[in-house]
Amino acid sequence: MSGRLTDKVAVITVASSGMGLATAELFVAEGAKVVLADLHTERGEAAASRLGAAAHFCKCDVTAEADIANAVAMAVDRFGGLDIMFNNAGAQGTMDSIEQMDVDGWDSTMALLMRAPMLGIKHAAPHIRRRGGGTILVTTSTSGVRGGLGVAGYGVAKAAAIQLVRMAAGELGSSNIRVNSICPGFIATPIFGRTLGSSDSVADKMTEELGNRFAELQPIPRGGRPSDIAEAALFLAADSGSFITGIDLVVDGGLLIAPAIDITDPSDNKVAALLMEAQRNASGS
Amino acid sequence: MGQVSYDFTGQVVLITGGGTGIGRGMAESFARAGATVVVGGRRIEPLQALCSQFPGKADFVQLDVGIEAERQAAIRQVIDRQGRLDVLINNALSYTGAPLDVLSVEEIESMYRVLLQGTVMMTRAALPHLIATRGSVLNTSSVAGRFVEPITGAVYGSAKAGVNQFTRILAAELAAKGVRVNAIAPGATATEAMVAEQEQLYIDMTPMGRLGVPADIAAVALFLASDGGGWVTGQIIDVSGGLGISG
Repeated sequence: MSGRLTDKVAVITVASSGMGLATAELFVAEGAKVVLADLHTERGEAAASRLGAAAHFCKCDVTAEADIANAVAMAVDRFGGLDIMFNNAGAQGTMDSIEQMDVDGWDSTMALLMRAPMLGIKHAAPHIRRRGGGTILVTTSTSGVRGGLGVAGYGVAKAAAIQLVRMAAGELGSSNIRVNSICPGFIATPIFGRTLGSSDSVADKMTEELGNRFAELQPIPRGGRPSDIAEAALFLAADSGSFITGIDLVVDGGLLIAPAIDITDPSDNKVAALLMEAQRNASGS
Repeated sequence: MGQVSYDFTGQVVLITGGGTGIGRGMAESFARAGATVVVGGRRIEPLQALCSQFPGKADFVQLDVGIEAERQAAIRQVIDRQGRLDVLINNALSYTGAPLDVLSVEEIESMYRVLLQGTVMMTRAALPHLIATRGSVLNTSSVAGRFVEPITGAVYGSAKAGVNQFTRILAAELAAKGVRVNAIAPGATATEAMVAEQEQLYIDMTPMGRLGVPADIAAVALFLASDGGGWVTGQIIDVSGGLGISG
């Protein structure tokens, strides 16, 4: 039985865990070939080998333009072309408040979260055009849509990424290249533990508890799962999304319409308390 | 295959304005995905034509969503004959394209009554049944609800903006009860309602350089109603080939 992405070739950045990995798995299940581009070689190679011949790992630092160009070239060389470029992201960047902001931290956050998807679009577009069209995806965040969620650096970079998608959609529409973003709410992945400085194993252990605790934060009473993002990516990348471009598809359980956290008081940080508790539980056990 | 497939076997989908255009496209797609589809509309012939395409899988009801007695009767018929309701698609159309000073009072009142009030009141009538199945509501909105585009006018656009905000607020209210509420905002779609002289104007405003077709809109409806869209609520999804992304 043919899948919804049969014969399509995709590059997914930050694909060794979390949302990127779930998307790679779903894309392969639907018949795609996938290059998993990630900084983390051990995790990335393990993931690619689990997925078999349809997947290949490529070491990639998304802040390095040459690495992004290389990941794209690898997809073209190995699998014959490029149809889908998923500029996923995995790290938070600087946690500084604006008044305390270290300027180098700001710049590297922008390079990681704002410049990287631009470079992904830049290098993917010519190859996707050669295939007669395709899809470019960017991971944004609810932090980039409104104030009161997350920290300034992350929020600004994500807001810029949302606009980047609109600009690119305008530039590339006539080439049948659709550009959209996926805007996750609170999805339980290891990113939270890693941002708090936990080891990979503690961060992974935290993820299950976060999946339960995140039920408290938004209208739909469950935490987000990486599969929620993977299904959104599949929807946009397959024929089902063939007339959609320039949108920020929000997958957040209703967080943006009605957050169940106090977004007006930075000192009343329900989310931080929840994360610290989960980290303590995961470290202590 | 993906973790969830578009298999609506055992589910009942009610589509207002389901006999033509986008509504018909959605009816066909849900029927092919295994749902039992009930189409409502003011003209019987297109509804009957759709039902004969899907014998045993489709039913119809004469329905003007601007009339409360007909709204309640339609829901009663769905529950009496099908036993349940999983998805309500508020897609009924009333549209007159003309400047504000040219539109008649009746034309203006009809647009608000069908597009906004009809959406609200159909949802109200269906609500207990949607809560019982943890179902979902899909509202056909328009890019005109956010984007100031030159053709469809202030009445149509403001009615659709009302649909958008109703979608968001109701989604927040119903999330804990397991009912999701989303809207689909088409751009310019090639249907019987499209005015031929305006087609090129719309194409020129669309980055992807073509009109949409009902199947484009139907594909989004399937995703939103499926478990794959299970964490998406309160959203207005533009399906417009890029038209209105500056809105």
